[in-house]
Amino acid sequence: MKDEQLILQERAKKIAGWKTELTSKGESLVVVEFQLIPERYCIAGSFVTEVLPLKAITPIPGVPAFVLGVMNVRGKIISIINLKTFFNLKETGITQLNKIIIVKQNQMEFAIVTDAITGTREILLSSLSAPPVTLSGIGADYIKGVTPDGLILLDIATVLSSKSIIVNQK
Amino acid sequence: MDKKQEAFLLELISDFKIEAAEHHKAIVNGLLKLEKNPPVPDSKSLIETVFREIHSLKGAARAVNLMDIERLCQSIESVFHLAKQGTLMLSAPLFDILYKAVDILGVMLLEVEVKDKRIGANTLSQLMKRIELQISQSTHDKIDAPAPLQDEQIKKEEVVVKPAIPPVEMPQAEKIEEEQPEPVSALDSLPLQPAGVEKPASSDTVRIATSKLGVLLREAEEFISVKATLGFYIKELKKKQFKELNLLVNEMEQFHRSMSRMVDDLLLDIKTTLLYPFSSLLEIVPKIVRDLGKSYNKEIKLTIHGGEIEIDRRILEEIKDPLIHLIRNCIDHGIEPVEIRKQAGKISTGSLEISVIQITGRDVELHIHDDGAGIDKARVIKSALKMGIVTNDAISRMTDKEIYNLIFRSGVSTSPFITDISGRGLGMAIVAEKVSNLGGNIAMDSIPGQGTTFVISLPVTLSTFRGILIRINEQLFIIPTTSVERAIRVFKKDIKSVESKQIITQNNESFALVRVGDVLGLPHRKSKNDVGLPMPVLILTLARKKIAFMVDEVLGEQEGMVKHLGPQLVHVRNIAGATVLGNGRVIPILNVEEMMESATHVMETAPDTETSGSTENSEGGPKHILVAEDSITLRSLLRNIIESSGYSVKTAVDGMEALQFLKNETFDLVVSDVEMPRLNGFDLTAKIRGDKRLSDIPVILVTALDSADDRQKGMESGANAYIIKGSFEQSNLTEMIKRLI
Repeated sequence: MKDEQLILQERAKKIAGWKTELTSKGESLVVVEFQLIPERYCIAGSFVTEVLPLKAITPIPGVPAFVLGVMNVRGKIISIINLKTFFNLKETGITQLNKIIIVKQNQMEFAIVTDAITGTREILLSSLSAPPVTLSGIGADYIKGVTPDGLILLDIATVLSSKSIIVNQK
Repeated sequence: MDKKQEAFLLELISDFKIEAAEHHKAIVNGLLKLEKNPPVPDSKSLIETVFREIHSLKGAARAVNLMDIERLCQSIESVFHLAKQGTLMLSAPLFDILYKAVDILGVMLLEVEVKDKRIGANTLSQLMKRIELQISQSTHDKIDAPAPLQDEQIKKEEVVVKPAIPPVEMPQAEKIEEEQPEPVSALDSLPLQPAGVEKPASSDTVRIATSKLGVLLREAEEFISVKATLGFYIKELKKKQFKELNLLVNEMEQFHRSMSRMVDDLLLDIKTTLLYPFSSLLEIVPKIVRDLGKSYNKEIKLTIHGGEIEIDRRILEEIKDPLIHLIRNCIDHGIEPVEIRKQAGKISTGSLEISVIQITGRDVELHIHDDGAGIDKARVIKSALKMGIVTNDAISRMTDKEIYNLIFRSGVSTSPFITDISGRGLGMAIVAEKVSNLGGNIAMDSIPGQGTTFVISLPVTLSTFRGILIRINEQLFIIPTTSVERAIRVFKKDIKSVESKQIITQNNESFALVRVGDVLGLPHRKSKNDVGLPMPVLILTLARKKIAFMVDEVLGEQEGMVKHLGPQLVHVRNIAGATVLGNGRVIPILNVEEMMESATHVMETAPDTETSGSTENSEGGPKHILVAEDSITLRSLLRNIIESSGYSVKTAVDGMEALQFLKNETFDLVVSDVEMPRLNGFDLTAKIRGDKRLSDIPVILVTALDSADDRQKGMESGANAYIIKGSFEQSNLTEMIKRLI
């Protein structure tokens, strides 16, 4: 029990210290970091409602390839999207794709599939640089920038409000 | 940033509305108490309370920039300010104007976000002037109780409000209402009651937004799957046969039973809160009947029974159009013009009777009866024959009632004319479909010369949905039971090809046959039919169409909740939604209407569904391959790749499960991931090699690990091939499989 308390306290201290340290240097953003092999991406934490392992997919016939299918999250049906396919990135090899992040904005909500979810962190907006040319495959509209250590900040709000993500075959 | 502020303001306003409603209620209650009590000792504290409430409301309104509300509060506050000081007596006329002011305040609070407010600046200033006037009058005559009345109107009001004996027993709500039917000026005649919402609540009712009830209902409905899931686990546990567990399992079963009852009760009770009387729908009927009667020059007497019977308001909304349609039909086709009625010896006024009958706690029936000419059987037959819905032969075997009910089929009409109201023969089919979508049923009967009766049976609450669970390849789907006419078994030899379409014949009726898999664009696999076994076929019917759909397996009937696929999948062709099974599995619900359309398209464009481009081996069935992979995404990807090359695939979630499958079934090859929980790929391979019966099965390891070490380890464990995920290509795997078996 004591150990646990200690760990928690230490963690709390760490998180607390980390925030004040960063904010003093300018406007920052809390992000959820994940991996879509071979790249590391992150999205603004405010759009993330939940992070889950992907245990079962029900494929839906006739949907575009970027929709892997749907899943059941406590009785609610959520569609699962592969951003790699949505962004038209060239697929090389196969990867795990067994963790999902549920993102939400207004009425729109879906899950994005990832290879691994690495955690949350705070990034300085001023430290972002333009994406390298190799990433031109992703519509530049969906990338906000790249951190000094190569983390790609996705503009998940634009993805969430993008008309092309909506499937309406009526 | 702007948007954020806007959202923030909206949030503030919604908070304000909740707070304001409480203040408002307290003010109204205070007023009522003050009026009832003759100046008793505690009236002072009551005045203080009301004063504080109104003051707080004023402050809250100012904080969110609602100036009009603030001004009105200010005006009311001044009354209580003076009353508190004792310089003003709360007289009857003063109460009247205060009630009026508080009512108007209530409307303003309700309409905070509404653009077209019903309370204009004029009304407001008029009201405030009246308050001022009353204050000055009341302060002048503060010593004498009855205020001198200068105004006729006020005198009239006073008679109502101040009966000789104070109405102590009168419930508060009624009291407010009593004072309202005294329209004296433009101000007083204002409609202060927005439709259905602002009725003064009696003390044992609470007003709740329907949206909130909707959320409650959804949350309660989720317990259905909790219940089902628990049942599923108990069933699984019972299979395990551990003696030590028997007692626990039995107790769990008992718990499950009582929990099921609790969930059912909860759901039922919540659904009951969504019930609404039929009268709210039926109140539009008299006007419709009067208008139609006029335009057709027919005299109609309308009788309505059972308006007090309650039903889910969502059903009420949905049933409105069908009801109006039926009423129009009764008036247009049913009830005869006056002269004809006279000739037939009927009273000239036709009768239209609408009654709601509670059949059981769960079902109601809506009867729509007219005493008109009845349905012209010959015309129905003629129209149905013309539309090719039935054959002469079939008609000869039908009862009158069956013939009448043909009018619910699309295209059948008894009207020789197409009027703006009816005659196109589409309406009845739509009515039938709407009713069926609600889980109800429609039937009709008619007696020539005496009239027609439509009977719509409806569930009281939007009930859970029933569907037939089917399998196509390894995927499950559900078809709504209401659309399934029957299920049959068909041998390959029974399928005839007519003009490149496939046809089956059942009881002298022919149906076009199509595979559900083809309609949905799923890959075609070798089926039982190809090896001489019968295949299950469902004959689906909707409106005038009937099509036979072939499936791989019918697994039974299933009950569940219809769920939407979520905001990202607004509409997916052929899919109506999804339901969740007891084990948590999501099953898509097929949209029969679109399936029918798609089927027609499939039959026209790809008539020869038999040509499946599979590369199966020569001896009997396809080779059987086991895939062990812990990632669901990869599992289905590997399955699709391997199946599309013509192999049959079974999947395991880890090495342990794979080993179990290997012990019970025969496989030709194993494709396995390396990193897996419980038993990894290396160990699985080693176990396979160590088992005499299995040792010859080729194993392909698929891994993210790419080091010479691992490759070595893989080979040492006895794997036949090693594929690195990072350089994985579909063709690699299929070629490798081909080489190995």
